[in-house]
Amino acid sequence: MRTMHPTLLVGPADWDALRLPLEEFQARLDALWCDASPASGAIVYGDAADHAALAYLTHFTPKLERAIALLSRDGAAKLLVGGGINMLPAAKPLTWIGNLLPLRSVAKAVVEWSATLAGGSGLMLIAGDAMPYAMHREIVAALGPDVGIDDGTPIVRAHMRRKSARELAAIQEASLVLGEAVAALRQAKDRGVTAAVLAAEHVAWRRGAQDVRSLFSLDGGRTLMPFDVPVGAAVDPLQVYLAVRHSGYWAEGFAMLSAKSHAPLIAVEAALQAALAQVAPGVTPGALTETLAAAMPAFAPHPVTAPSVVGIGLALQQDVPADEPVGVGEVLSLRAGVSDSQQGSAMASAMVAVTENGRDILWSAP
Amino acid sequence: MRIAELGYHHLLDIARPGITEDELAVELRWHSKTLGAEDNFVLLCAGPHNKAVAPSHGRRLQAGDIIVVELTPSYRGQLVQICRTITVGEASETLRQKYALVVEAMHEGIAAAQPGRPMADVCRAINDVLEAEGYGEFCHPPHIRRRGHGLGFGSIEPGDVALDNQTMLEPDMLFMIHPNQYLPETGYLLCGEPVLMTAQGAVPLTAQTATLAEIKL
Repeated sequence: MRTMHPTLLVGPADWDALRLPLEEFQARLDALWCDASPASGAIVYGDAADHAALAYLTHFTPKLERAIALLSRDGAAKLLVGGGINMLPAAKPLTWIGNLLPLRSVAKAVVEWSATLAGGSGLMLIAGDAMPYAMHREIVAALGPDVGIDDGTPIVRAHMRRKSARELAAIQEASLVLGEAVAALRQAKDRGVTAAVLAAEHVAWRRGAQDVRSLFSLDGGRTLMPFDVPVGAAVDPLQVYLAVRHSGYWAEGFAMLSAKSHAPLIAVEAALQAALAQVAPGVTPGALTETLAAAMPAFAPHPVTAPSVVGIGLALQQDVPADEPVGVGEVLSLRAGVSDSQQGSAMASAMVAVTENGRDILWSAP
Repeated sequence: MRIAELGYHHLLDIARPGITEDELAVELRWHSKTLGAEDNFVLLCAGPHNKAVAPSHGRRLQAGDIIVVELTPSYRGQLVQICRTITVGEASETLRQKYALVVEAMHEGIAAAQPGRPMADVCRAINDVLEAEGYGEFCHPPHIRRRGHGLGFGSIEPGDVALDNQTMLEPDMLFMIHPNQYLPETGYLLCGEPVLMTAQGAVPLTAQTATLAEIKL
C-alpha cells in the first residue's frame, strides 16, 4: 500500500554477501536473459520511492537520488548513481556491482554503453514506468529509432513473485519484526496513539528495520492517517497499518486493537481465517478475494484494503493477476476490511507464503 | 527549530565508536518523531576525511572520525535545518583552525544578508573568506554548488545561496546559510544555520550556532 514515504531513506541497506550471495543475483540475471531473449542489455531504473526491480537485480537501494543500472547479457554491469562523484563511496557498499559512476548525461552514458553491447539486438527497459518522463524521452531520442527498447518490467515482476529460499528467510525475518512491533503497539496502546505508534516503530528500528511506515485511525478504522502531529489521547478501537522492511523485504499488517467486542472486527477476522485456509498452490487471487467478500456479507467493503490480495516482497505492493493461479514461493498479503456507517469499521490482514503443502502463515493480525 | 537542536544534542549523547552511521541516522529520525516531527531528512556520514555529506550506510564509527550531519526535521510540513560537525575523540589543532575558518565564513555570509541586497552577495561574502585563505578552487563545483537554500514548505524559495541568484532579500524570507566546505587538510566540514530576514538583517534561528563538537572517549 502506498504510504507517506520519507524523502531520504535512512535504514541499513548495505549488501550482505552472506545473506544474499552473488550467486543469488547471478541466478536472477540468468533467468532474466533466458526470458528476455534476444535483448543484449537492460536499463534498470530506481529511485527512493520505486526501486524494487533495481534492488532485485543489483541489491541497490537509492536512499536519496535516483539510480540506473546498465546490465549487459555478457555479464558486465555498471550502476549510475545520482548526486555526483563524491556520493559514490557511500553508494558502493549497497550493491554487488563494482563499477559505479555518477548519474550525469544519462542519455550519453546509455548510448555509449549500448554501443559496446554484442549483437545489437535491442534493449530492455525495466521499471521505466517510474522513470521521469523527461529522462525517458531523452534516452529514447539519444538511442534513435533503430534501437528497439522492449519493456522488460513484466518479466522481472513475474520473476519477483516466486521467492527463493533466501528471500523467504528475509521475509520471515521482516514478518517477525512486524509481529514484535505490533506487540509493542498493543502494550503501549493505553499511553496514547502517538506513544503507541512510536513504541512500535522503535521496536522495529531496534531490530534492524530498513524502513518502517505507519498509519493509524482516530475514527475507529473508517480512515487512516499518517504520522502528522502528536496525538496524546488513547482510542479504542485502535486501527493501525504497519509496514516493516528488513534486509530489503517488506512485511505489512493491518491490525485493530480493542479491549471490547467489535462486530466488524469479528467479521474481518473470520473472513481472513477463511481465506487463509484456502491458500495453496493453484488457488487464484480472485478466488481468495471472493472468499473474503463472501465471509462478510453484512458489511460494505473497506476501500483502504482493496485490493484484498497483493504480492509483497521487495515491493510493498505488487499486483497479482486475479485469474492467475498462485505458485510455490509466492508471498501474499491478504487484507480484509469493512466500513459501515452504522456498524463501524475494521481492517485486518495476514502475510502468507505459498508452499508445496499449502501455506506458511508468516504473520496474522492478532 | 527546537526539534533540530534537541536532535543534535541527542546525537552527541549516542555517537560512539562501534555504532554504525545507519544506526545513528535511524535513531535520530525516530527521536525527532518523539518530539513531534513527521519526518527528518537526516543526512549523516562519518570518516577520517569526508569527501561530502552523503546518505548513511553501514560503516561503524571509529575514534578519530569526523561526523558530518544535516538535521532537517519537518514539523507540520515546515522544514528547518542545522548543519554540524562532530569529532569522535579530540579534534586536531588543524581541524579546529579550519572549522573556525568555515564558521567565520558563515558569519560573514549572515552579516551580508541584508534587505535590498541580492542573495548572491551572501555567497560571495562566504567565498571571500575562504578564497583569502587560498581555498578558491574549493569554492566551486564539484566541491560546492551552493552555500545554502530556501526553507519552509520545501527548500526552494527564495532560491539557493549561489552566485547566480539575484533575488533581492526581503524581510520574512527564511533560508539556510551553510558554507559546507571541503578543505584538503580536513575533508568536508558542515556548519549551517537557518536564518530569518528582518529589517535589520538575517537572524539565525538557532539557540546556539555551529561550533566544532568533540565527543570525549
